[in-house]
Amino acid sequence: MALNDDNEGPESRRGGLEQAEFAELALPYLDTLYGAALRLTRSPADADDLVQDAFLKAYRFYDRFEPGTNLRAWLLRILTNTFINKYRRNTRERKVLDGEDAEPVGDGVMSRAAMRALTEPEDDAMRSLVTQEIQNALDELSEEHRLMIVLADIEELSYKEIADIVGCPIGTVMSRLHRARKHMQGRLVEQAIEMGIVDPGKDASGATVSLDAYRRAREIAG
Amino acid sequence: MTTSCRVVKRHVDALVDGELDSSAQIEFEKHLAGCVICREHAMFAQSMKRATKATLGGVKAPEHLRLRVLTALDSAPSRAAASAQAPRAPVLRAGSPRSDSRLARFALPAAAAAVVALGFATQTDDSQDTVALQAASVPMFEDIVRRHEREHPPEVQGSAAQMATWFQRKLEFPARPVDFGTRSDVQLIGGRISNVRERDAAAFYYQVHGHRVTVIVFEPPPDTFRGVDHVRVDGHDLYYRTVHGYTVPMMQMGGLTYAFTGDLDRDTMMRLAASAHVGH
Repeated sequence: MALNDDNEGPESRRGGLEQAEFAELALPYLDTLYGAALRLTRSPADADDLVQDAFLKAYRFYDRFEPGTNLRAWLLRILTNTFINKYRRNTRERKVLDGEDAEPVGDGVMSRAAMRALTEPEDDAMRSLVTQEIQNALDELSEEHRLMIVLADIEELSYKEIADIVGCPIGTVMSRLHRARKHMQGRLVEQAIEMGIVDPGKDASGATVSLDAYRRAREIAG
Repeated sequence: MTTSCRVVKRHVDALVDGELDSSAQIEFEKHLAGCVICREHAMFAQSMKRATKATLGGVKAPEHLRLRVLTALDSAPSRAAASAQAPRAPVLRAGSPRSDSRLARFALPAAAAAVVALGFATQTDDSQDTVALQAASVPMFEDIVRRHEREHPPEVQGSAAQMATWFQRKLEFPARPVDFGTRSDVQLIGGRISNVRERDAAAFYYQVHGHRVTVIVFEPPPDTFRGVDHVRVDGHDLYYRTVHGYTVPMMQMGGLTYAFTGDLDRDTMMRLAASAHVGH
């Protein structure tokens, strides 16, 4: 005897959700989840496993999803938690990088010339440097920082949504995101200087100069 | 109080992320209009964010993952069953073309209309027979995949006609390489004598977009396709099974069976097989 959807009582329909129905809702986010998984795991094979696990978990806990809220953010949250619990390879590394010493040296100290050269570069060499180094820089970030870049810059989620996903206050999201971006920018500038695309001596003082110093100089001049 | 450079610098992330409240936004904009250094700083941060998304965003999931997720979901315990606490499993989906074709739509966008049933895990009471039937063909498919995986070197190379002549003296049946019509991306590399289980076979090797494809030709044993999933693609009947991650479509032409194995996704393999024919 075959029993199909239509024969099921209304009570089974309310809480229940067929696999096919779930697939219809969730699979449009397959590319999103795979992209995030690939950035987090840095391995296509691990990304495949992570995405599969996340979809299975999302299906199992679908009754916890609040209808009308952002399904993409909810799926990313499940993916993130699955990654943190299962795929994180080196917890110690992460803790060290997230400690006090994690403050990038370049924070607040960046030559204006470097900054200008890297802002919306028109030059082909500069553009390909930016593309290449963004990729490298992300891969070198700690997992916590990588997660920030994935959620804020690639998925463009709000601080609130990121805080919900990561399970921390918004202030923590802001400081982590700030440090993650500084690491990426620092790496980019270093590479640009190394390749001779940006001249570190171009500024008046002959070296990288803090913005505050610039501001003071301007105030004096003005 | 006017917004200082220090404040702007500290909150440049919130600025580019659009997370400032509206009064702070106005203050910041006022400051930026008059301060070239902060303006450059904000433009740099904005540009980095944009470049990051442009560089790292827009990733497409591989096609095999879609199918993998669907298959995994399909064998997951049904939520409908769990929440209803039904005394019997209410999800008897084996013979239900409706739910299968809904899944199929995600699995094979290009050949969606052609796919009627994808043969996912069956849960009906009478599924034992089906399973047994399907299992009968498994060793044959596994053998075919093994022939492909071993990457034996070709014994004969040359034109399709030269190869057909070479096989003529060695096999009881006319083994000819298939022709993929107008497809210019398929290249015939060579052939060799092979086997499928205890049967003689001819293996032909092709390159498709730099991927290896093996076409094995053999005389089909009786009931070759019983219990094997069937699909019609571009007017051709294809029988297929997925073994060791390879989706292997088979078709019948002139009383012979042609099996296609390749390092390509399922959809591509299906369409490749459907475009094959044998010249005379």
